[in-house]
Amino acid sequence: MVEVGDWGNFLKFLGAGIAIGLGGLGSGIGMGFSAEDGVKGISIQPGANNEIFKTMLIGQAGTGSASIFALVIAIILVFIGTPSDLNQAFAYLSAGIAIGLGGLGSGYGAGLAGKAACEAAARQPRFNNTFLANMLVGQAVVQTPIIFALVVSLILIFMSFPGGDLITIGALLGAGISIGLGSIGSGIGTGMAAEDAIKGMGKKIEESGNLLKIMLLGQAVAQTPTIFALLVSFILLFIGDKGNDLVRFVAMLSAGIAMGAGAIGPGIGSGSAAQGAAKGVSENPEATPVVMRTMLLGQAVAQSTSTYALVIAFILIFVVK
Amino acid sequence: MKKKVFIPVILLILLEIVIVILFYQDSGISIRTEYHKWSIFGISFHANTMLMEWLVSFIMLIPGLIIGFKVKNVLKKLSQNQEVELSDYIPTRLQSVTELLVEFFDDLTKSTLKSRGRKYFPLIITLFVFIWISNMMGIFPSFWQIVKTPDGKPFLEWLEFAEPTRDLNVPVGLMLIVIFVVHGSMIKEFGIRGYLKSYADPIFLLFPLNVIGEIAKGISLAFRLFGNILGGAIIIIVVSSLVRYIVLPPLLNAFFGVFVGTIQAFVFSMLALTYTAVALADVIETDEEENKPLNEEDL
Repeated sequence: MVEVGDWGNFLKFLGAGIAIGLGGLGSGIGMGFSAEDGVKGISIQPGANNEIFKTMLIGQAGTGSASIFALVIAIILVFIGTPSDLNQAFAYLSAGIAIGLGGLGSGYGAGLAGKAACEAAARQPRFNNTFLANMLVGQAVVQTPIIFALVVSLILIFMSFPGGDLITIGALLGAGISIGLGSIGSGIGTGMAAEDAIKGMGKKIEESGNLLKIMLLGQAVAQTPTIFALLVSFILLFIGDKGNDLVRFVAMLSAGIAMGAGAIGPGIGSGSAAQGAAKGVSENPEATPVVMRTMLLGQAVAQSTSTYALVIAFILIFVVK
Repeated sequence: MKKKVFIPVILLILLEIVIVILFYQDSGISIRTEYHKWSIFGISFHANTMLMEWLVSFIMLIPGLIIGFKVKNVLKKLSQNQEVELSDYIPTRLQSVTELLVEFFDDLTKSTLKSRGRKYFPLIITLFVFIWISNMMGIFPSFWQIVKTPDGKPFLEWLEFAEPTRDLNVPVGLMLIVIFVVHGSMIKEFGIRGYLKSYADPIFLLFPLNVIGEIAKGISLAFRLFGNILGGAIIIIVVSSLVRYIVLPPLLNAFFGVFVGTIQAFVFSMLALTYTAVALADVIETDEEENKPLNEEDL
């Protein structure tokens, strides 16, 4: 077995840095979005100062939760004891990568929802509370990818993977990279869907129920790539293979990269489809059933690339020997 | 007015902190991955999950039974020409809430599936209520339970009030129900040939893509619910333990238990409804063109 020593601490602190550094990036941009449209809104409607200010602050708080999740993991990694073996050290690094990359998308996406709520509040300050409630629902769904990433990080930190062998290290790193990269696309995509749905509510408050339905459906389907990434992460975490085979090590690692990177595009793409659907419904509510069906079909085709990535990841995990 | 509320709350929090500092023992964070198993006819069942599912089903029955008996009572009085008091007609709170829920889902299914809405309405509302109550189970405290150790001795064990949806088997089971209903109604409406033809749509070359798409739909439906609920549960356990159970746990339970649980239950039932609507789109459209009226008595 390899002696860990200082290298364990090195990997642990590297993970903590990656976690809060990257995790704060998305939320920072997202909170700026909320502030941007909040300020714009107040300059257009100074009379609705209070409402817009409230919406802006709550939107920023919702956006900030992505970086708070990253902060939790970073604090745990900073204060947890020195890893006893090499696997544990790499698990800590992988936990940092997972939550750091995962925070990128969700922070950015939640910011888009907050931005739209500020714009809607500037347009119709009387219905501010409706926009706030819908924004919170939208942001809660936008947080799903980072919640998945947080779960994988916590499992990586608190489960024990004894020993120090190549295949386990590959699997652990792959698990973190898979859910980390995989949640970027869906985070941004679900945020885009929420953005146009809430903007639409600002234009047509009477259609808010319809728009909420379209938003939830579009977001739920836009999360499918992240769910595949979660599946691959769980398989990599619990597969339990051991050994020092270099080919299997690379196979495990690249299974994570394949699924994670393969989920970015489809996540943004199917979110874009949901955004278009929300816009369409807000402009022409009578066409809701046709719009919904077309959106689902478009999303299904947009996600086919993530399905290919899933198939390749499965082959890399189970077939390559 | 506000000051009067604040002072006791702050005092309670301080008391909590003092109690925690005095009596807290770090027992470590334990996330249950092993389940007690009951083996029946060679098939093993997860004991805790089964108990929780029965409890959920029982809770689901209660409003129906109470309201049903009340309505039956009034009808009986009417049929025997007895005097019916005004208070019998006034709905109770429970009845109002239940009616609100039923009406909401009735409108939802009717607006999506048009004349076929009533046929699928019971499934959709049952899915929602079952998943919703399941997701709410996590916010209740736990209690003790008697189990037997491998030696056969009775043994007191901590029974978690865990969400049954946290166990992967439950979402997968619910997903199989949805898939069975969607594909079954497609076969029923279009026949086996029409059903198989729908996979070669729009051109034959897309056959494998469509099959993979159907499988992916199922996987994502089950794992979306499972991941969200398990994730929320793990976050509540770990973060509560990190802050020594001070202040944060109720807020975490409110967000991950109540809020996310409700949204995910609604999303699951909405997706089930939408998949049915997409599968039956052609039939619903022809019904629309023929202007088939919504005949309440007929349905």
